[in-house]
Amino acid sequence: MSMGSAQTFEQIVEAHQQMVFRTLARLLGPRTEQAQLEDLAQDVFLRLFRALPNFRGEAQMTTYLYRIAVNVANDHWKRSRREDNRHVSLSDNESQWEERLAHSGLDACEQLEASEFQQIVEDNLQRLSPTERTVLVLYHQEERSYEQIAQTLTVPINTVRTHLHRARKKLRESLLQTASASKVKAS
Amino acid sequence: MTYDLQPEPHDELSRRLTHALETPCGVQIPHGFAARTAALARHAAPSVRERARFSSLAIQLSFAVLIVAMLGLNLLARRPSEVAIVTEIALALEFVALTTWLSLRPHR
Repeated sequence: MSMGSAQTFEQIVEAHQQMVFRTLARLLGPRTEQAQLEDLAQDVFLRLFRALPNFRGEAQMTTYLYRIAVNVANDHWKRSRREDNRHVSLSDNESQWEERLAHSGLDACEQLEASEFQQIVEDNLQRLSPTERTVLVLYHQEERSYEQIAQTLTVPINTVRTHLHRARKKLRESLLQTASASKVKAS
Repeated sequence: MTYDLQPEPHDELSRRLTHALETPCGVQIPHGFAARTAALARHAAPSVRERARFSSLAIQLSFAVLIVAMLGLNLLARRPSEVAIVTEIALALEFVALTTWLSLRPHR
């Protein structure tokens, strides 16, 4: 372990556990059980442990940790999706989601309580494609730059920009739709 | 990608959306998580290291056998020319360099 002389693995885990748990929790959604989250976080760190001899710097390790967390979350998401096909992706080109969306719900959306709004965002986040969700989480919650996200996902920076823009737009539209639906239900 | 890249309107909804996305969801780190994970990693480590050491030894041994075979064959050859000897030595040095590099590189 090249970094082991200065830092024990336990210290490395302690230093990064918050970030790993936080990222996994957001990527997997609020309905993920705590025990499941712990198992997945452990998997992330065990994968890191196997790769530790190749690291020469903290920055490289952080990027790699994000990459592992994203991969672990995606694997879990695919497994869950197979088990539960109820979720309809907003990315499905055939579903023509853009045409179905209402634009009149802006007022209704603004009237939502903060906690309710947060919950709707969390729910709609889970309906985006894994890449879009990952880009949003890394950019907004983890405050990673375009370049760092591009390195984490091994995609060009422009692709990150496009995914971010598209994801925000879809999320925005789905929020308007959800708010309109709640308004209709309430009245 | 053919998606429309028109700028997003800067309204109250955008501001609230950004705020919601920037608010991290509350997570609880289980007590002793780092210690448990480190212990698990230590427990799993020997097999990985053992494999790496075995691979490294196998590579070194194979190269050593190869060098001996090359030199032996060279000595057995009848009336070897100067060019053949130089080529043989160059090949042997190349193998030594490769062996050193393979045994010193970090294991994946």
